[in-house]
Amino acid sequence: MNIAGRNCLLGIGYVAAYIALDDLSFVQPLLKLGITPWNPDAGLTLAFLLLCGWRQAIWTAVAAILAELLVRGAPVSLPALLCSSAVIAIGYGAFAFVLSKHGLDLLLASRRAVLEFGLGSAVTAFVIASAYAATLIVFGVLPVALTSHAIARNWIGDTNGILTLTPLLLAAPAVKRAWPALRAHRGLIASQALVLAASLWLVFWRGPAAHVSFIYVLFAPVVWITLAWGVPGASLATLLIQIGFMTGLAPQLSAASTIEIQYFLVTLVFTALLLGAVLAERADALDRMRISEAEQRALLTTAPDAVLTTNLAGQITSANIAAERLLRASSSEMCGTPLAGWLPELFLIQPVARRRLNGTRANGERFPVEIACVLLDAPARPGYLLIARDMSEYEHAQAQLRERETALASAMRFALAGELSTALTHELNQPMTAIVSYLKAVEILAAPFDSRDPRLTETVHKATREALRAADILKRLRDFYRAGAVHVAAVDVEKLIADVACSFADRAERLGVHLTQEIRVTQEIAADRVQLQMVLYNLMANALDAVAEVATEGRRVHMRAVTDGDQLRVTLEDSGRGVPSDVLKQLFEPFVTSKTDGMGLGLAISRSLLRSQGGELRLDISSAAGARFLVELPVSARERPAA
Amino acid sequence: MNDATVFLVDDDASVRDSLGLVLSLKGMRTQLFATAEAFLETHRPDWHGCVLTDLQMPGMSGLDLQRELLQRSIALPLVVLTAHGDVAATRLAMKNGAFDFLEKPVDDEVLLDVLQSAIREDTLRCERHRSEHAARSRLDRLTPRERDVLGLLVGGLSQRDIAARLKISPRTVEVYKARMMEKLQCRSVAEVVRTALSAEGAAR
Repeated sequence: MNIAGRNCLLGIGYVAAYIALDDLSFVQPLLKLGITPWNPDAGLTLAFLLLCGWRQAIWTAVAAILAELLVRGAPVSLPALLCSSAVIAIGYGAFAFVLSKHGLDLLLASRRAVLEFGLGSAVTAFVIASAYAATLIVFGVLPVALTSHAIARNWIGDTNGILTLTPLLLAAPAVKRAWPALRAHRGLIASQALVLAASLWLVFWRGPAAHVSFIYVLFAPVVWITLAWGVPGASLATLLIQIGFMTGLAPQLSAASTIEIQYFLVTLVFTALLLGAVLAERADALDRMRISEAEQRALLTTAPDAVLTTNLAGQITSANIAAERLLRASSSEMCGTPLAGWLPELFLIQPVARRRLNGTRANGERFPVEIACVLLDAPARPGYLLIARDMSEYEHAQAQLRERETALASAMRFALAGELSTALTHELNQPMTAIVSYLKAVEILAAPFDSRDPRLTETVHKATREALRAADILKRLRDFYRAGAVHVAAVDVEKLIADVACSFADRAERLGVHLTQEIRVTQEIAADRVQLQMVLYNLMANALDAVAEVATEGRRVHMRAVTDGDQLRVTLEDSGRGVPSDVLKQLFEPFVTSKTDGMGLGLAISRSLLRSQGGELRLDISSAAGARFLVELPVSARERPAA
Repeated sequence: MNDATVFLVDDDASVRDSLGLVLSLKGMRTQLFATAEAFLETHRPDWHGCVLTDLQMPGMSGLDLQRELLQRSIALPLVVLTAHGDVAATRLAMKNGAFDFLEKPVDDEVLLDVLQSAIREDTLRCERHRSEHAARSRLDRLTPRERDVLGLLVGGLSQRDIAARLKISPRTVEVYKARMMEKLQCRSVAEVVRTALSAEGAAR
């Protein structure tokens, strides 16, 4: 069925219901006009327009005209009928338009919604009642003297009709969802119905109008029902009371007394609706709290860090799973004990941003811990919330790293001194050779004069001896460092490379370098671990220096280790600018460098170290897009033969 | 041989100068080169004596020079002088036939000794080469018939046997033999045999 068809059917149904309600509530009319003390048809109209859209107001006009004709037999002329019906249709259509534009919560689940809906209805009903009365006066149907009377009666009738019926009808689409709850509480519903019926009987049905003084009894069942069922319950209860009143007592009362009681009932229904709204708000808040509590619990359970809460006296009030793990005690063992027993160095006086101190586990073990602490200023349960992280593994790893780096640094210093002394020996040996030879020449040239003073030859001899001694000292110095023996042992290349990468991880991160490794080593490698590490360390430091000169996004260093036959090949590739052409030829010579702060010994040392193990270091590729160094080492490095 | 020369190759000017001075004071002819390339460029085949070279030099190293000499069949003995004491390089140089290996600074007596024996070896080599060359050129002047007689004579055959083998008269063999011995400038059969073997050495 298309939408137009459905709307048409809905409209026809609405018109029929409107006429029926109008007919049923057509009691105590003013001058046989449609001005009655309770107009549920107004409630129906507003619910219809809010649910189906304000444009359906045309059906309201039709319903109003037909009701006038069918229920009251057209007590007014046709123009008056048309005008008064138009007033009703336009009035409610406009109100529905305003409410839907305003985004009213149709379930009236908040105090604000109830206030807007109730006060809006009252104002709208007043405007419509005034316009309706004016129309009738214009057409001469209503005497001017009765104007205020007519407006008041029409206003209270419409307002009451809206407040009792509309909330119930607006909640109707949700009734399917509420059905299981209704079924589950059949007993409650039955007893509430019973109490309500008894109250109605007591107030309206037992006898003559004198019992109206019991009318306040009605508050009890209405409040009870509202507490159980919220806004729809309030609406239904007051609707039943209204029906009870109109069928039981109203026929026996004068029109004036009926209106009086309608004022009381409008207060009752508005109060009940507000109460319902407050309850809905509370339920919503509780729901939200439950969700956030569940989230909090999940957070605490999965948190990797220990989370503890204490009261202001410093006694533990809760502990999560990580805290149990940290302190080696169950949560129940910890609760109630003073926090100072576990963290003796912490004084809970003020919040702590981040601090490193020592804790004590349940088994008495001391451990390093990093904590952060905040004051919980919830008025109900003030205290402290403390987050603690176990630092023992971290510190252990740090200590290991430091140790390794110290060993490496000392080996590096040794290699540096060796390279330096070798280079020095070589450089100084040349002038030494020249000195010794020149002295020899002097000795030969002086021979003819020897008879004149024998000390001449002797002195030259002595000078020669001293020069030779100096050369010898240099040679011994060089041999001492060179003899720095090679200690060949099984090397875990993967771990070695991981160690080197780890040493540079911080620096690489600071520079934004993308550091990668690829290791395909199938054989066990026998080599000097410290020396190999030193070489890779050197190359890595060079690579990072090289990439630091290019833009951040292009900084990459890739380390690759493979075994190829009986060779271990490690390549280190960087995305720097490559080796400058002016140093390319002597790259591995000592004191050659492209760095402003370099000694120019790193590569020379690295090559010497590798060669002493039967390996080699080469510059594999160098272009403007980077450099690649290749380390080759026999899988089984041999000890250096004695020099 | 009085024109034997020490060809000194060293990149360090003062080493070159001082060693050159000492060697010349000791009565040796020297020729100095700052690089191995310069030596190879000026080298002439009639040079003899020995090469004294530094090991580590910019450009061509001492080992490179040794390789190049081998490739060009320059037979001058090579004495390596190094300031570095590089064991691996020493081993390689000796394996490739270096005459000796000395470490700087060097004792002049030792240096002189080594250079003199190197020169001696070179002189012997040259003489051997020259005599072989002379024998060869004398041999080249023989006619085919004279050479046949020479071959059979060196093989130990008598004149009569040679005549039978060559199907000529012993008298004719006598004439060939006399002419051959005159060309070879030999006075006895023993000398003829020596010359023939020496020439064979030169031909190899």
